[in-house]
Amino acid sequence: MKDFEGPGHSCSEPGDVTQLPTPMAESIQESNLDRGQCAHAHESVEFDVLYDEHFGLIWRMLRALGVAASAIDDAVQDVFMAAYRQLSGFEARSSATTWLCGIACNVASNYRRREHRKGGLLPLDPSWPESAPGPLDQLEQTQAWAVVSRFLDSLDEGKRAAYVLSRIEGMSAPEIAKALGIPTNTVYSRLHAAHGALQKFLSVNGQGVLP
Amino acid sequence: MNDFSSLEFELMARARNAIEPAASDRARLREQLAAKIALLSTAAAIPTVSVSKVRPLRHLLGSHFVALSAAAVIAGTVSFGAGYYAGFRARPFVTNTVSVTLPDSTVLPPSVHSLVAAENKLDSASLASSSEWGHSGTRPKVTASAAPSANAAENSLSEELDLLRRAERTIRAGNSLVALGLLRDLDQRFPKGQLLEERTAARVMANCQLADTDTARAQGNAYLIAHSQSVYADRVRSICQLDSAKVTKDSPASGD
Repeated sequence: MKDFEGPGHSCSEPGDVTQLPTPMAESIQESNLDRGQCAHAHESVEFDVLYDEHFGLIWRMLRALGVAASAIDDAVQDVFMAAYRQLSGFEARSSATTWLCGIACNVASNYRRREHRKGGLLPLDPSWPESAPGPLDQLEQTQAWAVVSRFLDSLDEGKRAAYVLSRIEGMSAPEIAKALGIPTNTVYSRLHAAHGALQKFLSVNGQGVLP
Repeated sequence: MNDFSSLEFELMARARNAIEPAASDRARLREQLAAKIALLSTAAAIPTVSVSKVRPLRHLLGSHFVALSAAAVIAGTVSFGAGYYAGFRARPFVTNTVSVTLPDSTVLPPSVHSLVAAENKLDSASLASSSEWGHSGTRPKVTASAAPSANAAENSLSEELDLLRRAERTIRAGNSLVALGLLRDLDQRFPKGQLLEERTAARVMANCQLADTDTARAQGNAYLIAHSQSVYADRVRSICQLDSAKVTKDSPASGD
């Protein structure tokens, strides 16, 4: 992760932080100055970078882990707020990415549980996403996502998380193991099982969407 | 890589593209997150003035002195920062005593009177008789006990105050988008809050500041009609660029 804390940066030089043109940097800076805690001013810069570098990852992960489009804003904020609160306790034993993925998995799990209590997951939102590059691409991507999301819904929570981190986010098994707090061998077995489940699923539901 | 693995790879790549966030999502959430983080610090940094301890003082010394004293505590807290409360995250419920002395030249803005009135639950008549806006007198040294309130209603009002205060500060800083986000949070958390007039004024000012449109000015016009005596009237008029002579009751948005 990019480090904004250059040598010689100290509390007497807050300008480096206040110069950041983003509203988040301003708010964090303000909050940190209120606290009078230099260490947290440094954190604010790191947190800003953390957000920029991981926003897309967290958004995609939450969607792939079953958070509905209607709840995605809240879920993403929950992840980053949790990260903000825990930032001082982050000891870099794992990478920031695996750390955030672990938080996102917990948040997604809570959202899914909440949806189940409400009477089931929300139906797929075919109008989503808004960011596809063109009509044909959008059609292909939307169809692919419709199938994949149904497949993911058919997996249990553990297999789903491992599969999403591996196949959607391209993480290695050791990274997934750290993010989920499970042994690496368990990751491999879950991925193997999910891969088999996908073959079965597509043999029944994959017509017209397979590339 | 076998055929099925290739198909799987392609399928997942398409699905991944389908759930890619738009640039507008990133920007929108950045602002919302910034507002939440700002709120997090505000709610923790500004203590609740103990109403139960202030009221007997008011009875003994007169409402004028106590209103100014309480205002001084809040203004002092905002002006001088919350250095007194460093380390609050580790000890959020520590009871402590804070002494604040305002400079003689300090003039309290109307909004502070309004907020203090809400905090102390003074009625408007009491406030009117006890505050003379623009008066710049000697401020006494003030000592107030900062302690957590056990009363849920007071906590709720305090939270509403903090959010509103933060929104007003962001408007003064020219950050209308964040202010509107804060006001949306206020609407969600306190749909029947006790500071609705102040909230409406803040929203009108933020909208006018954000875009110089007919709609924004119409909202300002409607606010001035509905709250002609408001302490915010001058600021609304100024930010929305409304000439007092042109505030009319046939505004299209007068149903504010």
